[in-house]
Amino acid sequence: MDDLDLFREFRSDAAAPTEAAARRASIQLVQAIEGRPGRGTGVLRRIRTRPGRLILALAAAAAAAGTALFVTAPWKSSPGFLERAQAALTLPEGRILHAKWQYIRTSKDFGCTVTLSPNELWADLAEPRAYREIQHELPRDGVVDRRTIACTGGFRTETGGTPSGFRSGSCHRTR
Amino acid sequence: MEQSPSDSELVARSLDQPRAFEPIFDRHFPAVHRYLHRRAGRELADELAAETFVVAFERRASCRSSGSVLPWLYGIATNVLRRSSRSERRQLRAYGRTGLDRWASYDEPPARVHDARLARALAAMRPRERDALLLYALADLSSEQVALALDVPVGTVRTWLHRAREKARRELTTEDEALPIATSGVDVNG
Repeated sequence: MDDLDLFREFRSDAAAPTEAAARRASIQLVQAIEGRPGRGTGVLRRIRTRPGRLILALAAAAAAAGTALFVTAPWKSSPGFLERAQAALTLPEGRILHAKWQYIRTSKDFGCTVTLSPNELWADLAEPRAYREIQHELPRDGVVDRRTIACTGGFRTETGGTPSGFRSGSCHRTR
Repeated sequence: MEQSPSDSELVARSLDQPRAFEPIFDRHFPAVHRYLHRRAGRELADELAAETFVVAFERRASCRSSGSVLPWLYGIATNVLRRSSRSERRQLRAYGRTGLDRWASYDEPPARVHDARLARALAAMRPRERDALLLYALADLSSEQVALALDVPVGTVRTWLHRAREKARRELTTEDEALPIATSGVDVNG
């Protein structure tokens, strides 16, 4: 027996991969084959698969902070700082904020991955702050089956108006 | 009866028809996962085995295997493992020192007194020597296949295996209760 053959027994009790692990790996490979996003690990993967959430959060934070500065700024003694901050955080007049984001929803329980159609938001940050939003996250009304909820796409839902006069737009199925 | 296409035929076909790559996963995922499990523990193996096949698909044009692509996949798995942030060497040292394999996920850990010693010997090796040895011993590859997996000349692999053997012998025979080490048998330098 060669010295190196001793190592053939090293951790030889390692078990076969679980069905869930194989399924997750196969989904990743299929995504790569189909050219869809979803690669990466850990935090990076979560950010990559939900970039819109990050963009939206940043845009919302910027808008809120800009509004707060504009409304409440009590530090008249330091206009330079506030003016610069306000300029950096608020959109130029006449511009519309447009955010677009997309979800890839993976269910470990049911072994499925669904790429939802992109969501979009347009918002005019000037009064009366009109906005329009198209979402594809909500399940169909009356759906209670967990597999259907996890493994199928959402309805297209369009909403919009102004915060004071909310109106619901059209709502129709896209998947 | 129609003969199923070989691995290399499937890889070549997948250049035009990407889905032709899928049977490669079905054929070799368990083996690649087991190799990674034995080197890095189950949790990391789940993640790295998946990444191995994605990387293999993306690099399939560079596959030079003429028959089974398993050695090529083992090479990718080894590189993916090396890029992983966790230190295999540090873990092996701890295992060798304490006798507790914290990466194992066995329901009832078997009494493997030898494994801790082997872990200590592995920790004493350079990364490339350890890669070559574990591809030889765990993945059951020949020197030529290890060379293909690591994309180095076969002479280099033999040198690494020779050094790995020397270090294994030195580490294992300095134990209080030395393992019986044979001096004859398969000569991978040969």
